Amino acid sequence: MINYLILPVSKYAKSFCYYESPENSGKKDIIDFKVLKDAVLYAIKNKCGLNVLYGDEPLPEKYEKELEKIEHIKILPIGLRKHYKKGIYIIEEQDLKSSYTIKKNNELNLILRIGKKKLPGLSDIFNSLLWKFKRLNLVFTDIQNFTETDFDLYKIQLKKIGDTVNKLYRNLNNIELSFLTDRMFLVNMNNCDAGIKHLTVAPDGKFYLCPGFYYTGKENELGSIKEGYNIKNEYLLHLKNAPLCSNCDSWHCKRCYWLNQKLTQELNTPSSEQCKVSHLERNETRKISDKLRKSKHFRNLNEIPGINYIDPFEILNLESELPEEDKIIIISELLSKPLEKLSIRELLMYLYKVDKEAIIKLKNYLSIKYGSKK
Amino acid sequence: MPEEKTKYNFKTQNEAWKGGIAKSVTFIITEDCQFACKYCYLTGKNRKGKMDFDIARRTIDYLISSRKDFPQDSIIFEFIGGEPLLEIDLMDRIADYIKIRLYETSHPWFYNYRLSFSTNGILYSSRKVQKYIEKNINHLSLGISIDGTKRKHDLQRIYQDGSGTYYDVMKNIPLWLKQFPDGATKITCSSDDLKYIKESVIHMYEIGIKNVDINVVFEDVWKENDDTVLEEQLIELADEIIEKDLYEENICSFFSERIGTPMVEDKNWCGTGRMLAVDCRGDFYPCIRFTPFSLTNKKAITVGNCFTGLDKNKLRPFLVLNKSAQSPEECLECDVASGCAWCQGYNYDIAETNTIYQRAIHICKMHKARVRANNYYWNKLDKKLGLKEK
Repeated sequence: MINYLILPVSKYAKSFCYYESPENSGKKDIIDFKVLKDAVLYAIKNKCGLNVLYGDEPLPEKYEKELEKIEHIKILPIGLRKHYKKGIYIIEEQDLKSSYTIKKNNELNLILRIGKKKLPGLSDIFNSLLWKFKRLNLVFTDIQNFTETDFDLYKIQLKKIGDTVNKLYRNLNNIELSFLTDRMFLVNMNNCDAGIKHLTVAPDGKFYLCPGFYYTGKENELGSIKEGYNIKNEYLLHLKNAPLCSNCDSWHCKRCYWLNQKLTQELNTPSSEQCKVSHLERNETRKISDKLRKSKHFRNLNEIPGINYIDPFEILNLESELPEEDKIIIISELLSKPLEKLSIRELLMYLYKVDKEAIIKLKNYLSIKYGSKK
Repeated sequence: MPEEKTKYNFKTQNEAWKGGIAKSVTFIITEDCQFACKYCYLTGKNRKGKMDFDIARRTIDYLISSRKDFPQDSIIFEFIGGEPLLEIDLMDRIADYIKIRLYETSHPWFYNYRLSFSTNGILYSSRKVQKYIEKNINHLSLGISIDGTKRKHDLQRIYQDGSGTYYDVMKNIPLWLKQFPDGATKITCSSDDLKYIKESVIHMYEIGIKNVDINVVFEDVWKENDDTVLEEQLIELADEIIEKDLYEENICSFFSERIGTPMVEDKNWCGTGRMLAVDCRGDFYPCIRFTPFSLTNKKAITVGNCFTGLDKNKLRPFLVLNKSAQSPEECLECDVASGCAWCQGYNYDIAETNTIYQRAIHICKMHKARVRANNYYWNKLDKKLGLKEK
């Protein structure tokens, strides 16, 4: 069910995610007032919330008054903070210096959008922003260009930030980091869910899965405010029809459909880079969680299991399946042990090694039987 | 079906070479063909698309130097068209280069490679083709496509001027079977020629082709009652095969012990993505069905090229494809799902969006008819051989 709409109020509205919006070459561009009015009315009639994406300029009063008719969240470039005191603020690379002047604040919700060039100094950026936000989302603008060196760099930076997060949490300063704390508190996939929970109404009055698809081309139109929307092959957005993601537990991953389409040409299949980044985050989160669970305040945190891959493709690509002889060795090893002394986890690991499909079936069965309950 | 039945005297399907785990690389050496078969999926055949040797050379060098990405112990180099024998000189040159490079690099494939092609057959007896066969006979798999009796064959497999090709193909069959006694052919059935299935399979056996691979086209061509015609034809065929003991020496892929059960394995039907096709531009594809000249409605899907190598992200959707993510609910719950096939390229070409994850099910009623006839076949064979009693 669509719960909210995303409304870029200019074709130059700042990106808050992986896609890039066009550079504003100084020209003024603002959504037609009628489109904005229609979008607001559509949202009201359909009980949707509204996330409004701003460009570099504040909106005219008339527009703001129209927006006041509905509960909405403003997503703004940090430069507009002087005009709007409430909202989610986007910090891009060029804004970093000015963002360091933000005063201490434990309420702010920030989106940090940086490229891989900033990786070596990521923990320094984090430290400069520390105490100035309640929640920080991290988005890499060029994730598709990540190399093995970049993954290594990110891992090092995550470790540094992770040590700080650990200390903060022990002092009960529970900041939220999309990349290092979200996974600790999740019990199921929590992804972008474009087309399932939200849709975008672009300045052209048309529906798109997300602003990224609006910028990619007209062929991505899903309908109009006037006529409604129709998502063809909508089932491809659902987790159960995504062979990689349905076997993954990097539950905090964005599963960005726009990035999927761009890099693998399929909405339901993530790129290797997206998987690796998410798994590096997951694994560092696991380390934080393991340490925190030793403290009485965090005893109930869910355990994040250890895994030996950073891309689920490595274990799902059936071409790398074990030869029959190796399967027999594993089964023999299993049968030689007293089963009652094996933990469920060990048993499942054995099963997984010899028959990946069996474990997937079991997972699907449990998911159907118990739904999203843990 | 009793599991023991394969112990008795009837011929079973040949296992794929190296158990089907060999890497398969397809060189699309020409986009031209002398034929204009009505059911051909290559809708963009043309005379311009011919592979340059340099493209083949680069591809082979890339495959050999990228052992990590191609770790298989064995490899099949397939040559395809259009009609591959139109480019026999190129095919020969590529085969020589493969052998030389595998030897020079002490590559494990040197001891485990096969050369393979399927031809329309009309150039088979030419001097150059015969020389190629002689040179590579120990590493060669070779099929000639013949569609059955003259009236069935000529209904579909015609020259560009519309005339039938049957006699021109037939004249080379004896030589082919002499050189490849286990030679198999593939019969393709469409709506108009269903009524000739029985006579066509029997005709193949009579001319000495013992292994008949046969399938119905995946396209949306099926008319009302076509399933009844198919079922009747297959039952008549089953009667003749069993009554005349033809099962002892011959195979017809329509009858299989492995079909007609609920879905057991959640795997994709075909090997698209696990194989690799390269065209005359040097672009890589998951299989030939994703090339520009195979697609009618959609853009080609490339997965890299011989200059920059594989684009592994583009391959991911193919390598994790399973049955459940692309099939409608009715297929997942179907009581006779196993053996029901699809073509990924065709699925993609007619999908509502640019996805390979939308399965076309035009053959649904044809598959069910096949399953009914298949059950009849095995029941009759069981009774005849007394398997249950034994």
